[in-house]
Amino acid sequence: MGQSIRQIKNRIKSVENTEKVTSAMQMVSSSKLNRMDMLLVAVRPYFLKVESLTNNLLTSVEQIESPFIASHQASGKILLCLITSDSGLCGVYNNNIFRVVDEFLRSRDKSKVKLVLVGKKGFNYFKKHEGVEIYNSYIGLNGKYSESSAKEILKLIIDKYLSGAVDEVYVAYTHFQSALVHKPIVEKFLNLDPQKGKVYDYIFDPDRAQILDELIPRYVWMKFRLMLLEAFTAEHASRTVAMKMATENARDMLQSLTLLRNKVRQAKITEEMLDIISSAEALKG
Amino acid sequence: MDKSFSVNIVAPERTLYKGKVFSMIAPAATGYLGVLANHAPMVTTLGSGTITLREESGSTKTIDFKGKGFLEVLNNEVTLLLETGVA
Repeated sequence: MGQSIRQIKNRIKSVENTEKVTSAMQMVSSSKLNRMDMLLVAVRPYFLKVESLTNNLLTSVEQIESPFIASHQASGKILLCLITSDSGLCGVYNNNIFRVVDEFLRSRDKSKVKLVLVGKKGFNYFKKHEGVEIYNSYIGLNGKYSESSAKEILKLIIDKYLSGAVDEVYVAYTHFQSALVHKPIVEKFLNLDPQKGKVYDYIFDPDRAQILDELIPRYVWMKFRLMLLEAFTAEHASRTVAMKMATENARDMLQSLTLLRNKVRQAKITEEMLDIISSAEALKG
Repeated sequence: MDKSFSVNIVAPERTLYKGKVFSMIAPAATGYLGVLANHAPMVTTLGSGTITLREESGSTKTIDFKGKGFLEVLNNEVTLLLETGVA
């Protein structure tokens, strides 16, 4: 036997501790996931209504004068907002989004891309990256959605966009489809590109300029909020799954270690008994 | 027989009302606005006030709300997007 009983016992103890930690983390993340999931499910239908109204209006109204729609001169300057997690232990969540972002960056001129980073992992990943400028990074949200921080991030993005520092804004985030399916995507955020649809002859009250002035910022805010919620929900879901797997692995390991411990103990007892018997035989002899 | 149309009232966190009604009175920004079936497509902003719905069952339902919102009428479907919750 390669290992002594004491070594095996130590290993069992450490695996037990790990299992306790991972199962606690699993429970914490799954309760966070539940909360975010409820919020997300509630917000989605509202957003879809806002989106369909905005889309209907944008296709139905000619010559809209809004800085959110007018396309700037194509100098190719891009702002990319990347939403990642602050803490690790969430499986491939961050790696998936990095892969998509890297692909996106390869297709663009890197020197013209500016980053706004949400989450520590994204910051750590890009601070070593050559040639990509970081406007700002937001660390410490910890997957917890807060209205004020979301508004702060959006304000920075919109300021940069409206001042003409960038022409387009993209957001890289993880779309939460279900607890097990998350899709990392890079989505165009600004300028708004109305999809061609059916044209309706709307009556506007008070007048269309005023309505669009109110509706478009509302739409932009709702959209950003939804993307943050999606990303955070996906983060908690990934962590729940990763921790669940870690807990299961720990349990498997415990089982095989316990078995090993018993075998070693039994072997030792057998050995001792053989010793006693053989010495007793020798004395008799 | 009155013709009915569907009404959907949604706030950011939940749906407040979904159903068929004969008439609706909503607080538009420029004053109360009544909507019946077959209304022309329209978009307007909402102000604080009371939304009154005459439901298909014959009962009348009122919803108070504070804040702003949008109202869209399109193909006998009325959507009210409230920015904040109910007062």
